[in-house]
Amino acid sequence: MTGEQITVLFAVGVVCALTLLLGSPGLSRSTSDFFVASRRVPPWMNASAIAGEFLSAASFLGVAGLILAHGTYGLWFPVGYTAGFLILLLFMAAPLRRSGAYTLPDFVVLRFRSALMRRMTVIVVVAAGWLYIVPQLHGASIALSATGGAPGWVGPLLVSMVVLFVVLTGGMRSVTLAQAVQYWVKLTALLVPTVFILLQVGLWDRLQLPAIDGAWSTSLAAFGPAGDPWAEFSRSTSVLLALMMGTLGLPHVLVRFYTNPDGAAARRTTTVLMGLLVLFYLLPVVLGVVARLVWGTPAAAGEIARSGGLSHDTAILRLPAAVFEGLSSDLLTALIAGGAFAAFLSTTSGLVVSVSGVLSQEFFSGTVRGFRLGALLAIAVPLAVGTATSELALAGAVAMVFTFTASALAPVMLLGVWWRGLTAQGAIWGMAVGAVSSLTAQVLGLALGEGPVQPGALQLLVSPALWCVPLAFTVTVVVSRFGRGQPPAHTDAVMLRLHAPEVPARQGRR
Amino acid sequence: MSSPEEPSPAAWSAARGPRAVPSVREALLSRGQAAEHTLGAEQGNLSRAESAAAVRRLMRAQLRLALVLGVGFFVLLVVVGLLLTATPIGALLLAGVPLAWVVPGVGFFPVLLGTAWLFQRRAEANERRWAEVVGLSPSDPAAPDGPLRPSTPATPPAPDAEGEPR
Repeated sequence: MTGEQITVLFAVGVVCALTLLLGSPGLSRSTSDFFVASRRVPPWMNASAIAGEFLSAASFLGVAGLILAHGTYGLWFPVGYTAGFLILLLFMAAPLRRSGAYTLPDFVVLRFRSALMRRMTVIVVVAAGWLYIVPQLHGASIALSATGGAPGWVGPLLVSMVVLFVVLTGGMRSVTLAQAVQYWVKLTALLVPTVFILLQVGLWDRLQLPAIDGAWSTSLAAFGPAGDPWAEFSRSTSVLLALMMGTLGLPHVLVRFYTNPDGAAARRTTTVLMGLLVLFYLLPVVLGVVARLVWGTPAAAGEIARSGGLSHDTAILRLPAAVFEGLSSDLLTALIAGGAFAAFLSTTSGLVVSVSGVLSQEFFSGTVRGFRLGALLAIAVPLAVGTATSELALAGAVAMVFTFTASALAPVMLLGVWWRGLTAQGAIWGMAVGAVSSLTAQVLGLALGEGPVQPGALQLLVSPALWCVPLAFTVTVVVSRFGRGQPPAHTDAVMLRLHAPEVPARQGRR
Repeated sequence: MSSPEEPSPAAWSAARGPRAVPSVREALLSRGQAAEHTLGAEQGNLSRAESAAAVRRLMRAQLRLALVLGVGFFVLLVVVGLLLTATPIGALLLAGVPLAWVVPGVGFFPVLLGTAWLFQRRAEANERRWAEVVGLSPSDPAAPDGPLRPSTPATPPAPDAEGEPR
């Protein structure tokens, strides 16, 4: 074992132990405790927890990797992720909290009072959760094998075990605390290496750096040829739309809004959260650019390609070793690996909590035992899928899930909150069309094309948000308008409930 | 669409989760929210209908605000993307870095945070205006610990103001 492997494994062990410690049992008692921590979470804590939960493998490793491999295309991801929370803030944060529902299916029932609609939402939410867990496990696999020298199955198994323990024993209150800490762990784990790497690169003799201009060219030769600029534009716009709308349908993010005391607090939480996200995203952007400076020459890029066939997702894990030598390299690599594990653990546990909450309410009559059964299912299925599927770029895989939720959930949620004329029939058709079209297009795109940039029509299959989301909106509106269904009889009452500020809240409750 | 029959009250008093679609009344009255009020009950000197109409006006104001800011931001993204793609602007250097990198890399973050701050401010102002219309104390709906505290501390701080350290 090399020194790097030992320090990395030690750091990963510390992160896992910390997570287990924070998730220690004994705090939660009732079913309500398990689900939403009894709503006793203040905004700054909630914002840290959402950020801790949201910053996944795709943000921690994927963004820098995309910047290294595809240049400016990768830069749009942090913008899209943050803008997703802007849309959430503008349209959903306060009404969602005021709806008083625990989960997305609960919200759908309140609005549409349709058992079919509820069942469909459950299926979409669980599918999105499962699909989202797969890249987290995949990230754990490549991170541990790239730096710790472990076999590929160790990372996913480790993440599954820790997450299951925390979720099964602690429920969501302990997860909330753990998530809030995870954000600051992740920030530190990228901030410290970024500062050291920038200092070191700045001190380097100018001659040692490959030509700085090379770093700004669109695509590095080692990662495939550059695309045509209009395909690039259509691709980034599509991804931006998917990320902005898709956030509205992320079950593990939405469930956090129920832990705000009231609608105004939900808004404040989201604003604070956006600040935290921006603070974090500056780091992978800087690291991605530094990675281009370091590996900007074909020779250097070929070298990383040779060193064990690493994907660009491991770029920032390899960066300290390329810039430093000896112990400082080992320590910084271990810090990044530990932070990456914090990302896998927090996102996975958030997803497991929300998927198991939905599963237990729908199929296991909402008991604590049902929640535990749901948690087992929530992690077992992605573990099986993850070992069976081949690798995709982390950020790309997550963008696919965003495209799915943006098409299947976002139109129904947005129109449900803001449009009285929406009927259950319209919502059902919109959700079905959005889910089927986005999934079909992306599966076809994966099967037909290789690599993320494709010519013309194929590009619309690989990143279909640009037409799937408007299609789902249109279908929802048209079927509501011209279909036979009527808006649910209680629509006015529900609308009042969603949009009237809570008045006696500050004196009466808590 | 499908509307399954109401579950019996006994099924709901038992300590278990929902097994069927809850009735709207159950959903609306859950969890200690000001249900009477939000259902459009009489409010101060307003009738039920007037109170409901006031909420609808508030809703339209919030929607207009959200649409302007949300659609505006997406249009800004598309226009900037077009400019960077179709014109040579992207190749201009700012401190040695091409604009095609500076703008998406850091340029949108201040815009995002500014938009969020503006929305929160305006949305809370809309809610304060609504509270005045329906005759509620104006400092209640806006949070007493928020950054936009009303200038007159009309009511004593609620006993639950325990530390959100902001």
